[in-house]
Amino acid sequence: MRLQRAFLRADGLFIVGFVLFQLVLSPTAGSFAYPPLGPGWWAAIGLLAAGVILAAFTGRLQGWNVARLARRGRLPPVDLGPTGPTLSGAAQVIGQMWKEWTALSLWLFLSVFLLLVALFSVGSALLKSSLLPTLAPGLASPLWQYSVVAALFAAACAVLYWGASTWGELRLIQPSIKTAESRFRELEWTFWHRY
Amino acid sequence: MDLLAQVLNLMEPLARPDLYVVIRILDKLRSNERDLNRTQLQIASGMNYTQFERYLDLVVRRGLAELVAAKEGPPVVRLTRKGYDALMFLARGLRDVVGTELSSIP
Repeated sequence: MRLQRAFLRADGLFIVGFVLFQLVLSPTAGSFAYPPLGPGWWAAIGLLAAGVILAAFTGRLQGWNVARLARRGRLPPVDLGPTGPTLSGAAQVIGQMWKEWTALSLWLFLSVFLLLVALFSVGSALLKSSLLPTLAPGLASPLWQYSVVAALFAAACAVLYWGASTWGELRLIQPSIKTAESRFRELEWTFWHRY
Repeated sequence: MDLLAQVLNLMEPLARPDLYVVIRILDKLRSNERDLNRTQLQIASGMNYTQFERYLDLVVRRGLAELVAAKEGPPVVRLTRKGYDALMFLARGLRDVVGTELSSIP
């Protein structure tokens, strides 16, 4: 569980770093104005949404996997079968699900919300023809260069993060879970043969 | 006879009993100051009747608990010496294997 918290922290650091990158290093940061929001804002929002989605999916998938492995390793034991649908058992499971799913639903809500805003805004900008005629010449502009760099940065962060978390799981979590699981089976086997 | 034994074997109610449930029952028997009859033990263990009866039958058959006639009312369930040893074995094992104390098992 300590590692799971570390993954959550890594999610947060990734998002904060990405936002800082967008806001501070952007060559168009000084030109952002409201209203109206320029294409730089929408590009930033879109890329931020992409970053959030990448982080959410890599991090949350990791979280699901850790939780699943923890359950398989009976850490902690959650067992409703033999006890039947008791109130305390149901509350225990709901509490655990709540803890596991709250972070996930927050991430997903934020991701989907930002993505919808970005899509809607880009779509409306294109329909107003303010961006569409200049799309091809604009590829050489600092905004597009920045966008490409930002996208590459996001992709690199996601790959590094995914690689680090996968390595962490394969090298640190799964062996310990497997060890605990096999030792529990051994304990079970010894018990039923001795008693 | 072989066929009958096979059929009876198929009807075995607990092919793979849950160790945590056994621990829960034995621990309730150990920690309660007064003797519990089967209904009281079922409530204390937080199990439904059918499952409790299967597990009680299992621990009694294995000599981990016994049904003792009470002076009045229904018979009570008592932890045997073997049951106490088994519980201590499981407590040690759980502490070593998964770091769980008996008191933390619901």
